[in-house]
Amino acid sequence: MEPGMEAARQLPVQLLIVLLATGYLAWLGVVTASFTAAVAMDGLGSSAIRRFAGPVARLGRLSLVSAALLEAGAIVLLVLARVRYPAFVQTGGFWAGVLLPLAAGLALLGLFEAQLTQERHPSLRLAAGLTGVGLSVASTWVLVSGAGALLQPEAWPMAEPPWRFLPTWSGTGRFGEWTLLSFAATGVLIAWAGERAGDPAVTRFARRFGGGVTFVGALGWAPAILFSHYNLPDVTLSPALWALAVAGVLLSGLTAGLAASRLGGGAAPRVRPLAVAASALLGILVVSDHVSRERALVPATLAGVFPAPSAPARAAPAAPEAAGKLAAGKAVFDRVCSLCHRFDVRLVGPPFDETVPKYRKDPGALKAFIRDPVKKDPGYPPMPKPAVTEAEIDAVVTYLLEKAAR
Amino acid sequence: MKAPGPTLAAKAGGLAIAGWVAAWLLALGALAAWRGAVPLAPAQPIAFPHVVHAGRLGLQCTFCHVNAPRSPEATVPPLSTCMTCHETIALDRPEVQKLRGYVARGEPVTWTRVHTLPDWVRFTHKRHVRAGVDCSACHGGVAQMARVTRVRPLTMGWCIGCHRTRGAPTDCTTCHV
Repeated sequence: MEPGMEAARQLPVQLLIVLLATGYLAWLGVVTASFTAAVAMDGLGSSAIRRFAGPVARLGRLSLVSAALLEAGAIVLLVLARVRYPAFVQTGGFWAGVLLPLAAGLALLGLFEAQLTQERHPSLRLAAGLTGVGLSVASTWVLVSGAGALLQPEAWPMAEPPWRFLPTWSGTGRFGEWTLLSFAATGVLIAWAGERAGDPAVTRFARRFGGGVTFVGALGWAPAILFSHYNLPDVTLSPALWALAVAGVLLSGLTAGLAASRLGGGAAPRVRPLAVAASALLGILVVSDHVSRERALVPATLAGVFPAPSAPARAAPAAPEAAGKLAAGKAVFDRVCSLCHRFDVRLVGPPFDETVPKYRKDPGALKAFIRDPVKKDPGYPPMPKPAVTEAEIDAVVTYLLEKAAR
Repeated sequence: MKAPGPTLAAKAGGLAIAGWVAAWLLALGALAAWRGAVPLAPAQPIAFPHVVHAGRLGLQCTFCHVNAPRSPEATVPPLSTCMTCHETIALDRPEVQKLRGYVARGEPVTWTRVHTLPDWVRFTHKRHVRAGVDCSACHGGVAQMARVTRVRPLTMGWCIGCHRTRGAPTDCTTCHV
């Protein structure tokens, strides 16, 4: 009942969402970015660089098992979102838009990787690689941009089942952030792979290429954060969110500086601090997203998002006329009496279960009291004269006598 | 092995990165200031608790905002509405004493407006209430708010989205004169 208690009960789910989202986005990011780099090297590089495309593609550790794990990760994320935010409309279009391109994209990337060792059909291989990257990225855009719709509950009724899903600008900004950070993290891995290539020319290339990708990815994140925050709905903004953005921009600057000094130069790269920094940046991205979601999705915001279902008929009708009178009486009670009275508890006035039964033998006295109240119990303030008609008094007395404790 | 000191180029590069970061931090600060310029939940002269009246007591919105179903403006009720109950109830509460002070001095309470539309929008409460739009569709769960907060964007896209979903007219002149 208490919002705080509810949030505490949901804490494990929230932690799971943050951890799983970080892991999923980091892994998929490294897969897509490393394959993007491999496709570029394969298509544009010299023969030595082209041979390096294989080790770079393998950075994503793509296999049948890992592809299945990624697909399962996406499913679990969608299910967790359903558990944490039950009112959110997850249309079939959203599910299909996330899962189908991911499966197709990962399959094509696997095909590209398998064909890298062969010299046949280089243009087909390139096409498979490019399409695979495009589909994996498209799946993430649907996921992240659609998750942005969580921040706008008032728009949920517009996501008509079965197929329509709601893309958002704030989510698209987050998607851009993810793309840049994925490249930042993958650049570190490319430099690391280059050290083990055994060819000085490739090693030099990997240091410069990897360093450059990390540098640009990290520095490019700051404008992307600004874009996301510009597009976030008002209700999602909080001091914590701005603080996370500031921390992110500072850390991205530090990462870029590290990348420039450690990867770009001639020295052997020290990848560990950079890998930690890149993971931390992605963590900040996911936590920011979650913080804004939790800020936006409170009961006060969720109220009225969907038209309230019509109240089910209460009070089984004894006879049609009596039922009509009871319903009319209930309407009067709801509109007038319930401001100060309940049946079971003291509110402003006494509980009806205590007072009304005294009138069971003489309903006329109750009607007279309602018509012109007089102070009876010194423990309560005097009852003001209610603005009700004689017919309404008649109906409400019937209702009160029926409903009060016997 | 002693590392050689940073070269001039490295120093310049570091400065350039620091400058880039500083520029975006400034931009972020400006964005934060701009987005926070209009508070979503402004402080009010009397801390009227909707969470008690609309929440715990379950009063209907229109019990106090009587004009919502019959006029363009929902209107804040006159203090006499408050006094029907607070002549006798909860006299010890500081906020109620503040209220009674206003009444005794014959001074109007200058509430701070939370939901504002631009002058070129002709919005009427009456039509929306009569069409069966719940107050919470635009105002959120006021009954759960200790202090009234704007939870909807009040943008044209948001209006149009709802009009489309409910099949309400989307002609320009529906809202713009």
